[in-house]
Amino acid sequence: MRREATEQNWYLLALAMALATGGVALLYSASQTASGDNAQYWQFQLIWLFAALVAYAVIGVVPMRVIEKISRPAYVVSLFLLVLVLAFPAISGARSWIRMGSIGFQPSEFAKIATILVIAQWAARLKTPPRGMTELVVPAVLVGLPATLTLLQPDLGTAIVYVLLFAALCFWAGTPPVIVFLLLSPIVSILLTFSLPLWSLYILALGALLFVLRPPRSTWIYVSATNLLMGIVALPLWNQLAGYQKQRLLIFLQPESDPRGAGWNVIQSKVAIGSGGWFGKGFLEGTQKRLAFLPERHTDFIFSVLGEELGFIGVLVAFGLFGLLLLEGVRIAERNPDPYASTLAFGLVALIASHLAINTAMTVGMMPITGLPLPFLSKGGSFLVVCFAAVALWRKTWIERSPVRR
Amino acid sequence: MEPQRLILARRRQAWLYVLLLLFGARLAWAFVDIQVLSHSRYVVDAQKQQKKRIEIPPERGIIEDRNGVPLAVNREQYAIYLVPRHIVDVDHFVERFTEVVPFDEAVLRERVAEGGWYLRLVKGITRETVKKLEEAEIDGVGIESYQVRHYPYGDLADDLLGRVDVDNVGLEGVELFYDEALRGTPGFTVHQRDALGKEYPNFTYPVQAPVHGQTVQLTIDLGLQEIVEDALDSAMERTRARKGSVVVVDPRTGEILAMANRSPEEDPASPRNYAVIDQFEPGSTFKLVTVAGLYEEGNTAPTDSLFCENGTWSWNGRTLRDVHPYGYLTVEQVIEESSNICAAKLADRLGEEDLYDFARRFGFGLPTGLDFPGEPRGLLKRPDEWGSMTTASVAMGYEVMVTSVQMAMAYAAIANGGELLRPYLVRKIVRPDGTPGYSGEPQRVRQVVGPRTASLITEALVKVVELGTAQSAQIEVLPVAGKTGTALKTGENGYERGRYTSTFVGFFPAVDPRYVVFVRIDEPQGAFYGGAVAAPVFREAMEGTVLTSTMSDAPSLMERVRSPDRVVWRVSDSFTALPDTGSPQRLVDAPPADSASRWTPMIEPPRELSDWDLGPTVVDVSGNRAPLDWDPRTQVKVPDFQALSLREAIRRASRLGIELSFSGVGRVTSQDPEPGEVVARGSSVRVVTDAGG
Repeated sequence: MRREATEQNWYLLALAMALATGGVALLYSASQTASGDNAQYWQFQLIWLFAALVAYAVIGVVPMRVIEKISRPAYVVSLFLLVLVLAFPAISGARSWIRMGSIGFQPSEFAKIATILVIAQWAARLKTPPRGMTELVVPAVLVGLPATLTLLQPDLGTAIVYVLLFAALCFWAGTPPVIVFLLLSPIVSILLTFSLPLWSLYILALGALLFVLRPPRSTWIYVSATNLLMGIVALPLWNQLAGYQKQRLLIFLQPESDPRGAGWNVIQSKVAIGSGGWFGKGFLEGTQKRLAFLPERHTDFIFSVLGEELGFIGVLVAFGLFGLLLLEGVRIAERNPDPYASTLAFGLVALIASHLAINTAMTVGMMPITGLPLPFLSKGGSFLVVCFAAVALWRKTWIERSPVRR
Repeated sequence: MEPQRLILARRRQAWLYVLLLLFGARLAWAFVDIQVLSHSRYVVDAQKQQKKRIEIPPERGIIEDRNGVPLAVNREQYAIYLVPRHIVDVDHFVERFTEVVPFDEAVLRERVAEGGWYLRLVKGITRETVKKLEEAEIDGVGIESYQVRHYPYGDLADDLLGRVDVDNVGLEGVELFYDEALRGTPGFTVHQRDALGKEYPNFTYPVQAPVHGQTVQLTIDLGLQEIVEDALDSAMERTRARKGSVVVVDPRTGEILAMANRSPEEDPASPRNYAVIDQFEPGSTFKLVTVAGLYEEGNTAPTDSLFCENGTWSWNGRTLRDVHPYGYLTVEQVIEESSNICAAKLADRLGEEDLYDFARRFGFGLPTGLDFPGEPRGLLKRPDEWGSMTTASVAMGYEVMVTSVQMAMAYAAIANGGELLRPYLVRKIVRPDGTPGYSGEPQRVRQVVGPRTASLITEALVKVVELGTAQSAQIEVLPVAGKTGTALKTGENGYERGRYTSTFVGFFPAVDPRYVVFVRIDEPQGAFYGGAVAAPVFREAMEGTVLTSTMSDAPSLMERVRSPDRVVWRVSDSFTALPDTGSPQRLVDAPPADSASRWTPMIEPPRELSDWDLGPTVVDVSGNRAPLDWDPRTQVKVPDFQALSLREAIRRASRLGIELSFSGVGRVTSQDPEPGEVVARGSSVRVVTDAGG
């Protein structure tokens, strides 16, 4: 117990704190606009940072066994909250907030961690690595439930994160990546239905893959049935998407088609980052930000503020910090022989990494705008707490890496 | 499960890591591409949307008369614009707006529905409305000021000044010809603009101040211009002519002193300067060329006589007629009586080549080079294009097309001793900082004839007024020289009876002329001879100049007038002092015996000159004279400004050399000093008006 409370992975904490304090500074900068209506989000973020550190400390004293025990209740509670959130009024088109007075939080952020916890539990109980698709039904359902509920909010970005989490965790549990791919292949099928030639090629390639692998009949049936079905129902499904989601996808394909409207965000983000150049315009000096051309500069596009004010060098430093943090996460996951702790640590790496990749790729127009926050940097208390919870769990995994020696 | 085996199994999936690395590399490349390779493009994009270049319009230059009286100025006006994007509640907006500004609600709603950031609603709103709107502080409404051209004297010289378009760019007249000088260069400032269109001053970019337009000072004398326009107006009323125009030029410099045009047919919004742009057959005023040519060649004397065929002469198969039949006339009398037959005979004597040559030398068939847009060259055919009758026609002023300005300059060449000058309208151009930008100088085109020829012609022209066809041009106080012209106009069937161009050209005074005036009355109704129709315009205008002392050197002119004993009119070297004969005499036909080589004219002094012995007198409009107990050279009698419009009062004051101090607008109600008081020139008179203040 004593060791758990006091021993620190200072390297990990320093990286996290560097990112989080840098985030507060960037939020302060993002608030400095010419029009003068400067919401002081950085102050709230600072308060949330303290809250996140408290959460870090609290998680620090809880043993891993206890965490493993509360995995399932946490998962059930977060599912309940994800249903509950649908009853709350929508904010800018999405019902993702549970509000009590002025305080609110987004249950989907915690649901991600809870999902990682239960899948880690599933992985810990495996005798051998999954060999076939049928062995992945349990985690698929565990991820599918919260993912579907988030899609109903609707929050496409988070749903994509769930898919990535699922793939990463299955892989970490020892599943051959091809099996994971075959399981997720209908999603690829949906995306490719936009172009009939591409989709046809994809189906042919899939057929060839199945021919080579000779998987069990059930897999064969699943893959062919779902992929073909998706190809057929994709269009009605597309019509089911909310207007802004369609737009985001379309604009991702061709942002210049509507520079004043839906393409605005991507174009302005690229202008901000591009005009930053090698060394940036200097902290607080970003004109795209100051003149309010940069949209959502506190949340989705905080990285664009960084790119504009601190330049390519600043971007490299940020990527460097994230890279070191994630590599340390992977190292910790590998070092701990306990399958629960190891899977948990790797799931958290996948969570942070997928957010980082989707968010930053979005700012340069490589991915559609999904509204995913950037870990540690974006405004938003719930996610900051989640990020520090991840750091706390990494630390715990690190400290308990050699239960044999204890 | 064996952890070590698991780790190894994961590591064997190296292609997954390659995939991740590829994604990372692609992401990093995106940043390299945007931030490093395409950096400059995005900088341009950013600046394009963040900066707004705001043009600061320059003030258009002022046009003023030769004495600095402003003829074209700028007036600030106000316009209302809307920012539809700032209008949240349209109903509320419409209600509040129409409370302040009476405006059609439906139209207003339509405009608001157009949307956008800027929409000009109404121009030219009053100051009171501006004030009310400012007080009302309605969201989405703005007021902007702009400058409009204003001509303080209304339509006075409007055909000369021209006009500008809505953007203050010269369209016609002086406004067009000197547009570049008047326009100035706009300045600009750079504002930062945010995504909502809000603008912020930017201190890192320098403000480029506009260079205002330059002041163009015309050669026009406003007082004279007004007199000339009044004289032309009364002639137009008398003659009910189709058109009339007058050019007054200073023959010593080529400065156009006044230029007036009238036509009942024209669109008042677009006045035309017929004196410059119209081409017409001049008639007898063109006889100058033939006679000047003969005199210049030296083989013809004014006293040479020739037979005028008693009014009918067949020549080259055509019959020429004179209005009055003449027998023998001297060359001088041919001008005096304007005999067509003898003019044709004289032209024949000169020869077609020389006739053409002299016409060219006088500037016909080529633009004079006046600084005014649209000047044509006229029409003067080359001798090889002439028909059998052309020599006679040209002698009489037909088969040639001239402009009023060309005629005025040709006669100015006679008036100044033989030099053809380039006419000009602009005396100087002054930059906004007061430094001179350009200065109009007299420009000699060529010596057309020698001084002797010039004085011989002048001599003849004086007789035209004294004894000949232009007696209606006589002015009481000073001798004048002049020539009339009456030309038939061509219609569908050639020359038609009943449509005439009546012209008169005169010098004033005949000796050392200050003014050469060319008058053209187009298609007068009723009387049509130049002497009857056009000459009175000259007389009225010149009398006006004497009466109102607009001539800058009027006192010296007056001085000469009131010295009857010394009947000396020094003009040029060809004129010399006469012995004091003691009594007024008419012009002598022959040169005195004692001067064989020099021909010295004697000009009759003005009639009733004895009045002027009494000292300076004032001649009132009805011709009564009274001795003056003040000196008009240095003093002015304060006129009665009361009940005059302020505009009229300013005009009068400027003409008399009085400064007028005033405030407000409207009509003058009282003044200080009182009317009739004699004050020094340049003194100030204070007037009070009935409106504003």
